This record gives sequence, C-alpha cells and structure tokens, in this order.
Amino acid sequence: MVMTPNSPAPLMDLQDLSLTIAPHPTPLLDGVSLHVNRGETLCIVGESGCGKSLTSLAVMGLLAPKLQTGIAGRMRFDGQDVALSDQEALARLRGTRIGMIFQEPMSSLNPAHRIGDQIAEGWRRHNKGDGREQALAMLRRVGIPAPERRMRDYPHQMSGGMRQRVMIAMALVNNPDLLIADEPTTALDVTIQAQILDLIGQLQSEGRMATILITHDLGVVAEIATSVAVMYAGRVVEQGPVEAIFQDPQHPYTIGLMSSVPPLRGARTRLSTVPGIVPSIETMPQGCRFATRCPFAQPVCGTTPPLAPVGPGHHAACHFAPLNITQQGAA
Amino acid sequence: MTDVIVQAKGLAKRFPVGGSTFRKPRLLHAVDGVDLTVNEGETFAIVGESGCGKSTLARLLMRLLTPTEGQITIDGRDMSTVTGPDLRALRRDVQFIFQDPFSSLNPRLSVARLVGEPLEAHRPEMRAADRRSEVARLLRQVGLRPEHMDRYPHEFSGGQRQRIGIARALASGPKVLIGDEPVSALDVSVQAQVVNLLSDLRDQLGLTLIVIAHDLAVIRQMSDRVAVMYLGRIVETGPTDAIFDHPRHPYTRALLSAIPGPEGGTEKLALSGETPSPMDPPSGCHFRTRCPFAESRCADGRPPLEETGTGTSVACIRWREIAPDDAEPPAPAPRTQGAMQRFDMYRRALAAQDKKNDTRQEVTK
Repeated sequence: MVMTPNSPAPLMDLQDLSLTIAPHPTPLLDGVSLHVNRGETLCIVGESGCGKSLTSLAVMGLLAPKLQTGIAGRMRFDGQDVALSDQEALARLRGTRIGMIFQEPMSSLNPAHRIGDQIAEGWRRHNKGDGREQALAMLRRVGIPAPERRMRDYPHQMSGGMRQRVMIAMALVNNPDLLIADEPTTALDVTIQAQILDLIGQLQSEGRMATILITHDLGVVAEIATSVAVMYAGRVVEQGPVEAIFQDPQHPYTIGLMSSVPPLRGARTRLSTVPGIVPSIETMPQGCRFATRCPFAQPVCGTTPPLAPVGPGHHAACHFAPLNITQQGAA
Repeated sequence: MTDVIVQAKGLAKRFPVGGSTFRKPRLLHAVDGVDLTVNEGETFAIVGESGCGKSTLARLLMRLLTPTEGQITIDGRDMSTVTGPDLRALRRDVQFIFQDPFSSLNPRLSVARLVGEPLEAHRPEMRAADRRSEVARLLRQVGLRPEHMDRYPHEFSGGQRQRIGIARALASGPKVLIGDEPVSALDVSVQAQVVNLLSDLRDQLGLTLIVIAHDLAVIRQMSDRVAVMYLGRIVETGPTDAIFDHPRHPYTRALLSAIPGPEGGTEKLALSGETPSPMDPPSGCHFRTRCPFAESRCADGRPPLEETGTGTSVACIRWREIAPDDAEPPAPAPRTQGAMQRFDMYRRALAAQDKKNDTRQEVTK
C-alpha cells in the first residue's frame, strides 16, 4: 500500500487484487493495489483492455460468476476487512456504502419503468418507506428541471445528459461513502460532459464521499482527479498525486499515452505514438508487460519491475525510473 | 491561388418525420443553408456536437443523400442531382472512411476481397493477379503487411481495421476522402497512429481530406480550416489557428472552454441546457436559447456569416461587442517543462527504435 506519512487511513484500500481465468496461467489482473481517501477522487486511467473496468467490477462484486473463482486479494473499507472473493460481503456494501455509475445510461436504466420508481427502488431495497420523497430530492440535487414532472418520465423521454443525471441520482440515493463511476461522460457531448463533471465535483464537495473515476480521457483526469493510477495490461504501472503524474510522468507508458494526445495550444507537430497494440492474454510477455511496445526496453525488462517510489506518494513500475538518470546514458 | 475542389452553396437537407395519409409530416432541418469551399490538398474539418448535422452534411457531399435544396460542385462539376454513370464517377473521386471499424467491414470477406471490391467496381478491366498486387500495394501504403491479405476482419485490432477501411477507400484512387469521426472509436495511442497516417497519405497522394469530428484536439491536429456547426448551420469558419486562438462565436468559445483538463478553456463559458430539437429550432439565431449573450434582437432573423478581418467568418450579430479583436489570445502551452522533457526523450527513443527497425528490415530484404 502506498501512503504518505501522517495521512489519515484511506476510506478504501485495495490490496493485491489478482484475477486469473482458467486455463490461462497469466493473471488478467496482477497485484492491483489502490487506495482512496474521503473527499478525494482517484482516477484510474488506461486504454481498452488494461483492466480498469475489471478492477471496479471486482470491487463491487459484480464480476461474471465464471470469473469469480479466480479472484484473490483483500480490501479494507472504512476499517472493515473484506476478502474480494466474499461475494456476500461485497453485496452488503454495494448500493448502500458503494454507489456506481456506468458508461451507457440508456442500457443501464430499465426502459419499462418510470425513472422516479427506479431511483426509489434503490432506497426501498435498503430502507423503510417508499422512497418517493428521497427520489424527488435526489432529482433536484442532480439538477433536473421540473423534478416533480420528470419523476413520471420513462428513460427514452430524456436526453443522454439527463439520463446520466438520473444514473447519478440512483447511485447517490443511499448516500454512499464511495462512488465508483466507470467512464461516466464518454457517451456525452463535450458541453454536456462539462456539466456532468461539474455536478460530480459539486456533489463530492457537499459531503465526505470518495470517488473512483475510471476513464481513458487524460483531460478528464486533469480536471477532476486528486490522485491517479495508470493501468496497463492488468497492472498498475504508475500512481501518484495528479500534479506529479502530469508534471513528472515516469513510466514510459504514461509518457507515451500523454504525448499521443494532440495538444490544444502551441505548435502542431507530428504526434508521438505508442507503437503496436496491447498484448492479449495468450501473448503476454514475461516480466514488464509494456516491454514489447516500449522504446526504452532493455534485456532487464524480462523481469517484473516493482512499483517503486520515485517521489512523495509517487510510484512507478519501471526498471529505469526515475528516468532522468538513464536519460543521460541513452541520449 | 489554390484550386477549389469541393464547393457547396445553400445546401439544405430536410427529413420528413411522422405523418400519415391524413397528416402532413413534420420536417427535421438536418442541414439548413450551408455554404462551404474546400481547397485542393487541404484538410477541412467540420466540428459540432451530436445532432448538429455534420454527418448529414458529409453524406450530402458524398451524395449518399440527395440535397433538398442547394448545389454541390466537385472538381468543377455539378453533382447535386447526378445519377447513374456520373454518380459512379463521383464515387470514384470521393471516398468515405467510416467511424466504427467494427461494423463497417463485412466479417465474411477476406481483406483481399474487402480492399479489392472497389477495384472490381471501378476498374473492371483489371486482371485478378494485377488486382492482388494492387491490394498488396494498398495494404503497404496504410502500414499493413501484404501477408494480411487472406485474413478476416475479426483477426485485426481496431486500429488495424481502420487501416483496412482506409486502404479500401484509397482503392479507387480518389481525390477527396471524407472521414466521419475516423478516429473517435480508437484508443488514444492508436488514434495518434491513424491521425499520422492520414496526414502522410494526404501529403504523398495529394488528397483533400474532409474530416468530421467532435474532438477539438484531433481537429486542431489534423486540419487547415474548420467549420463549426450548430443545429444545421455553420456558425463560424476559418483557418484552424485563427479559430482556436481567436474564437468569436459564443458557441465556439463554449466548446473550447468545455474541453476538460489544464489545456481546456482559459475562459469558463459554461452552457446551460441542451441543444434544442432540430424539428423545432429557435427562430433567428439557433444558438440564442443557450447563449449567455443573447438579446431580444437575436430572435429576428438568421445572422449572416460576416468576415471578421482575421480570416474567419462568424454568424453572430454581437461578435464585435462580445469578442473584439483585442481580446487576449489564450495562454501558451501549459504543459510543464518536466513533462515536455519527458515527451522529447520518448520521441527520441522512438525515433532511434524506428531507425533500428528500418535497418533490420533492409537486411532481411
């Protein structure tokens, strides 16, 4: 676990999550450790297939049954120790202590029920009362105009941005301690995305909720994160405070990812790329999983680099980190 | 003076919605009086949010749709209403790259068939053996290997599939490529590969690119000129750098300021509400219902596209008051020194590796 001295115990501390699927001996998720404090936002960033969504599903206990047998690892949640293979314990946290938002609001809402009922259902499951009052209050909190009337709407009567607001209302109706949002703005237009990011930030500042936001968009990370974990092929390759990640990126994958994003200011030059594609589970290299695509790779990369400290609260899993030293030698 | 290759005048497309024997259908104004000129050899970008009509506009230019009103000229020929052999000739000159590389390739055709199909259609005299070597050449051109020819789409990653789609579009030897969100379904690192490929192809083959996208960073990277669309109309157009450094239209300014991250808006111009329905657009300026600067006179008639003197044109009656010339250009690159050094280092390592690979390839040859 990574913690600066004197910092309070994190709300959620995930330790050594691994996920293996028979018959492949290579784990899909390999020793993923993350933590998030109250009032803070952890962004998990990475490209398709890096394991960011699998990690969040494992924490919520929502992995498909055939994957559940391969889970190893523990989580400390608000002082309570939970084994990640204990589906019942995870189910008790889910919906009350941990709320979630998914990417596609249209397929996550039930098209046959009014949205007021769908929000109230979450309340009814864990509390007494019909939850109508709470649902209405939530709709108001997430900024839906004319909430009394909107309670009776079906999902298809709402726009994408409004549906995502409804999803947030559902996730927060039981006042959870942790909100997990998986690509919550990816399907939305940029002006609507700005509204939703504002809303998440504002709701968080109202209470002491922690947020884990999963995204592939580095812009969103820079906008909203307190700390960042960069994942590649099922491992955390770099993590640290958001400033450290953006000002002093250490892992070659983080650097490659950032320099692939076209800049909005300054000169327009040819983009750097990360050559090749993410290895599949059958072709996963031994040792550092990024080595096959890394321009700095050397024979030593055949062994797995540990996630080692490179700065205050900042860790990178690369044999050559901190990079400045090798820069002289390579150049 | 550069030659104009694509020109549209007063282009409009209205779709009937609903209606029955007894009721007239309502009209959806997807594209509403668009004028544009694209010069030969440039990249022209059309940007806007969902429902702004950008995809309809692309399909009109390709003549996958027939315009309700207005004129399209391609390479000096009027293409607004052509049919039959003339339309086929247009399709040879103007090709399309689709957004989703997963659904735009027939899964039951091999790469050789997928890329060879346009050759069969446009150059029927070609012999089968020549066609195969032409397909091999096209694959090499987009950075794939000729050995890939006998594989099927499911064996490729998203980026490779998009390359197959590009090879297929190049097969007929087009002058103009229209890409509808050509990179938006791809991961960032792969997206950068395809962005570089498209600009290389443009330079090597002298192509003209028309790119439709919603990602402003990608647009800025790829294009020479930009048109910003809102609810079927162009609200601002001009050279890319002028638009990004001096956005005049409140909508362009809001779009730029909504980009998340340290590079996003230096000004914060948040928009309330959402785009109104194109079935029932507001009178006058379509943007006035969400515009923080709107006045009552904005409802009186469509604002004309006016030249601003910095090379751009803007459709806003208040642009002189709200976005004057002396408005501060946005701050320079907020990417920090440390990060920039890392990016340089990475770039150098990448270049060194490429060189090594090149020599290795020469040796094996």
